[in-house]
Amino acid sequence: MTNNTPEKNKTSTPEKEFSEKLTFRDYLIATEEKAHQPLPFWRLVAPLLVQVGLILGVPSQAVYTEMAGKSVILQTLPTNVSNLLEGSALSFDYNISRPQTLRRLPGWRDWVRQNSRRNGRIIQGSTLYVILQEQRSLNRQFNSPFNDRFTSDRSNDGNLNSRVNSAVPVAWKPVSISSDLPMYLSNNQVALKGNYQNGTINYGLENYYVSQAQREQIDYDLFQAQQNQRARRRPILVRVKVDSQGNATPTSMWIGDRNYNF
Amino acid sequence: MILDNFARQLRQEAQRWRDEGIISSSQYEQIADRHQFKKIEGSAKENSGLIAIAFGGLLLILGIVIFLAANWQTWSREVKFILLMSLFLSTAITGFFTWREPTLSREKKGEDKKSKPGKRFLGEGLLVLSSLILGATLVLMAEIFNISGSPTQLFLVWGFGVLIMAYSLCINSLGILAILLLQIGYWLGLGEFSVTDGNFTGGDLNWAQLAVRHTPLISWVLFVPLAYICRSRIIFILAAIAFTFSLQYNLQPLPLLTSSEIFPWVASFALALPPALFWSYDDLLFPTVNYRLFQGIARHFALGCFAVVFYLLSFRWQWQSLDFGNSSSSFNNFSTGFQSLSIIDLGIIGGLVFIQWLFLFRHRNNPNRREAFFNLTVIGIFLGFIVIIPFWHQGIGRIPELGIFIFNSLLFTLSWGLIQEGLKLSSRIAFWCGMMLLILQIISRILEYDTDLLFRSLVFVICGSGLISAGLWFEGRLQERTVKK
Repeated sequence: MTNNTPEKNKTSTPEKEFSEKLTFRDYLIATEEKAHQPLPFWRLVAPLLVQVGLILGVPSQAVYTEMAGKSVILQTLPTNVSNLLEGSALSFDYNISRPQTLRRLPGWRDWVRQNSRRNGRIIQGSTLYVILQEQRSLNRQFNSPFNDRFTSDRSNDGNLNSRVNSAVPVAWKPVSISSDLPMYLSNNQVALKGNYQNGTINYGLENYYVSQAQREQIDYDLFQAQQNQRARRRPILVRVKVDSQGNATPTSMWIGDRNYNF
Repeated sequence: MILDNFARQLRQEAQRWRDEGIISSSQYEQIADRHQFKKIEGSAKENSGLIAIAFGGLLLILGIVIFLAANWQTWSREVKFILLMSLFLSTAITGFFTWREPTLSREKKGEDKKSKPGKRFLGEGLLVLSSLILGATLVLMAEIFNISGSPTQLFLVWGFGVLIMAYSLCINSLGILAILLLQIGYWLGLGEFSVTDGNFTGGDLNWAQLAVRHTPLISWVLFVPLAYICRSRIIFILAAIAFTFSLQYNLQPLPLLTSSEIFPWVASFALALPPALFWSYDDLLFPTVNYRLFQGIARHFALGCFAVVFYLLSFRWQWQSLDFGNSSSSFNNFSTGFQSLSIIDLGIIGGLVFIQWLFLFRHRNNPNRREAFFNLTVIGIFLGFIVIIPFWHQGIGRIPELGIFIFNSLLFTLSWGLIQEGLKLSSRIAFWCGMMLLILQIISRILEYDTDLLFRSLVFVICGSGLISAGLWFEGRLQERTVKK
């Protein structure tokens, strides 16, 4: 194993002199032949398959959530929609992203106490679960058949699917905060997992990427509605799917009374 | 190109000598044979071919990028995905075959020494490009499925993918790229998760947080074998840097007394582990390695770690108790802190250090490196002080004055040792490092302890003149020695 002959050596032997003189460059030259053996093709294929697996693994959670999740409607803060459209991505600011909204809910104080330092600042990256509850409203009878029809419409996904419908759903309402995933929830409740970052809570639902065609359509719709100045500044409703672990993925949104399919 | 130029000039000169009659034409032929004048034109042709390939490739890539950018918004996501995937796979596969071709052809033609470094280089470039496209494809997948994942996760996944490729193909540049990506992921993750806060309770750790917390272990265990596989010193150096910095940032030992209430031994571990690991590092511990490739670098790193630790701990404020409110600890209680300190990492690395030191003791009669000053005893004393003094200060009783004194004298010993080593082994770098360390220590102490201006100027003058005279003396001595030889 060793290249130095053990034990009885005096301070300088020829081998030792040699091993001292042996530089890294010599080693490189000595192993040149061995290192430049042509590699078999599987040496590329195996890591390439892993890389493809990583690429395909990115959406696995989202696909699972979309298949197994429960539909929930969230509401953003009132925003100026034309500002919203400037980038290639829409970024939503939900009302439940703000600690101000959540502060009055039961469980908030406990969560803050568990997840803050001694100087009272909340630790970055702390996890919380917001329990949302479905709201019974006047147009609920429109709401649920609409939801069903909507899910069956998703065969032509990818393309813009905009429709005018008077039955805009009602956003679910946050009812409590928990630092662990609740064990029991009633049927009309759902737990959504969030992450505290720099004064807001992220749910992984903040960014939505639109194609050029979609953006033009939204722009056009907004232009149609421009007579009404107040229409340009109002909350957007986003339908998301939430799975039993609290992960969520967005599926569609309403700007005013128009529905856009993601 | 530069070598080429020399041959060209030599040919010109030799022709002139022949014409002037200084050398005979047979001697000219010998020179021509030796420096292969006939191949100059050929290699020039090859070079211009290479330049053409490089420029053409650059323009090609530029064209593709502009084409993609122009049409990016109008394409649907499926088209984008298929395009990027096919681009990714095709660059990887063509890159692999271009990279492999020279070795294949050499093997077929037997001992034909005409290897084509250009093609190998081109293939490697394509493989690196495919690794970059991997990142773009990952981003696009997140975009298609509206996943707002954190950049930390992106870089960690990306770096992991590239790392596997580097392991499989033994390509140096891919290894470096992988380390850089993983390190970017780690630093972003540090900002995002704040590792030392004791909020990692229960089972809601995602994999990225786990990876960030175990980065010291991961970087040592994954990158060091890669350095052997790629035969690359750069990768070893990067691995050592990644390991040291991530360990310090995960444990945050300084200033002392940060976590003294619960874990008085953390600072000792964090500060002593890197130099202990580096000093005892021996390539021969790997069963298939027969050369001591990286031991020298590792020992230099160890001395560097000693210098930094001694220098930092020679300052007063590292020893003082913090004044502000959250002085005592950022850990909420014992168990959360215990979990967030990644005890497993410390255990595994500590075990590794133990094995290496056993190996070192067994071979201590037969040091493979000329040791002028830094032998096993001196290093042992250094490590002992690093372990004991911070622990004593935090766990048993406050000893700021003694600690500062000890670490100042250790720093002095280290710089003295470096100077000694420089003198005995005629090593210029060691001598100058020692001198600089000494001067740095003196100046830092002068500035730290608010002293008289007159005194300061005096010290600066003495330091400057001392440095000049020592430098001149050393260089003169070095020259004498080389003349004697």
